[in-house]
Amino acid sequence: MIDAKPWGIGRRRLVSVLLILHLIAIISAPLAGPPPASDLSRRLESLFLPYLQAGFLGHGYRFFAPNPGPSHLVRYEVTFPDGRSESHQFPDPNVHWPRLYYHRHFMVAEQVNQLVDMPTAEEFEADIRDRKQFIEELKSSGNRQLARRLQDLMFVDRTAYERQQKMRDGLLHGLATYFLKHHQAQSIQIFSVRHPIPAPDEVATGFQLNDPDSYLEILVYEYMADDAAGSDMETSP
Amino acid sequence: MMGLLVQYLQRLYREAVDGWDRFWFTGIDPAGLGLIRILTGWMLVYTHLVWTLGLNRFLGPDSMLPPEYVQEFHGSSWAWSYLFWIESPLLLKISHGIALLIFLSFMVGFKTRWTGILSFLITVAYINRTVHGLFGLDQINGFLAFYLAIGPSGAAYSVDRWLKSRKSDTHLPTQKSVGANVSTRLIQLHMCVVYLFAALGKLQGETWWTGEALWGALANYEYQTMDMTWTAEYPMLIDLLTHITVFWEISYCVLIWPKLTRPLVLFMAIPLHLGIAFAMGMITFGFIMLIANLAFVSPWIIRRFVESGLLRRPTKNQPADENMSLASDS
Repeated sequence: MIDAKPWGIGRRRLVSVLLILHLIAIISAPLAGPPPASDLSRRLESLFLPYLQAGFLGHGYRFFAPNPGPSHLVRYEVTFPDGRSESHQFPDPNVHWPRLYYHRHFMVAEQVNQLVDMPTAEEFEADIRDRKQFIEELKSSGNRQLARRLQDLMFVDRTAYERQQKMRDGLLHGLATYFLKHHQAQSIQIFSVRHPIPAPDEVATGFQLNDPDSYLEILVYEYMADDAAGSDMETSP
Repeated sequence: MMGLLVQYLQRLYREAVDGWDRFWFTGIDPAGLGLIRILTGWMLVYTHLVWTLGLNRFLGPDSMLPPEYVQEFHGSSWAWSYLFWIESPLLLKISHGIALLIFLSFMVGFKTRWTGILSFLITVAYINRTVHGLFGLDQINGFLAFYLAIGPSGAAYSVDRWLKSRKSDTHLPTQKSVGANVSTRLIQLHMCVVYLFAALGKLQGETWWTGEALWGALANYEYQTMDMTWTAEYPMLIDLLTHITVFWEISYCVLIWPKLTRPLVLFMAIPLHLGIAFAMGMITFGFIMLIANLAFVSPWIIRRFVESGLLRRPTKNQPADENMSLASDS
């Protein structure tokens, strides 16, 4: 075994600076998200964001945290021009094989659930109205500083809500158009399916993990393609 | 008093710098990095081979994750991917085939300097394109590809080395490498970050305190590949496994460093990750975590294990002790 060629001091110091910056970057990412996170960690992460994103190095690493929760699937029903309809779901262990391919679909289904899990536009606007009223009350009672903070927070929440709404619609539209084309169908309904985890004593007394009654689904999207161009759509998230 | 303080600070600085230099810039046998390259390369080949099944569904211009949507979801042009711009299905197939060949070349260590960098870039491009189909496997794949690309991961157990040896017509002695140490240290530290935050995140959850969390993982039908519902009869066992998981993850970043406790921490990783692999159906994730943990196995152990007959037999002209040195490097 031959000894390594030692690195000169200049090279060592330059690499040291790069290593320190890299280590701060990879620690700042899980510190900053998922929430809750401090302003400091979020600001620190934002400094390194281009590097973290370009290298896919910024993650929270919250595996099965804070709690292992229910799983989510996507079921969709396609209707053909002759009136027939078919039901499909993903992930489906009988269709999506090998397991890694199944898992890819599983993660998309989880993402669908994350994006559709939000208040309706009416609920959100009602909440905003209440908050505006409270802010006005704070202003008239002279508590302008708190009023301003709540106003800023309201703006942040509205931006986040509108973004989630846009992303939800974008993803569901992508799924709908893909599966319509895939099945050569005319219309599609997409359902988000929630599968809670039974308690150990339920299972000990004979409850099956895949009991059909344990799957809860909600309609999250409807889409009807124009026969000719497939461009017109009806959406009802 | 002031003099003592200055003396202390000077010593602190000197020893911190010396310790830092020893930690990062000591040369090590690249055997460990070579084995991690083969195994990570194999995972990259497999991961992307499976994408072949979903080329149109996940990566194509008309996929269920449309390119415009994914770019807007990222909200930043730093989350780049050349796959956003491939509109022809034929071109997608060709570029996918080339990507698989590059991963294969990287795995066997052919033109490793270049195939390493390309493998990392291609891995990130696929990840950024398939944004909602990802999980822990891709995070570990990504940073392992990065660290293997910046270090001399082709310096051991590679076609490059075999070709070099054949060209010189003599047996090439192994040379320790500072670069191999830097890469290995980066993998080690990144694994500490992964486990630390995995544990800190769990501490936010009630079920990791009440002991029920592991049940939540084992009784999840969509994850399950092995029926573990018999554990419902043994709630104390579920509690125990839940607590062990948290304690192991949170102490990893401390107990993995002393030589005395390192084997214990590594041996604990095996049942934990094999459990995830075979009971919860995340075989690839379980394997990639174990592969990353190899960064903590001393290169001499890896060399002794690999060269005890698994990969090659000693040649007639090769000194018996050349590659079998038991001298510890890290």
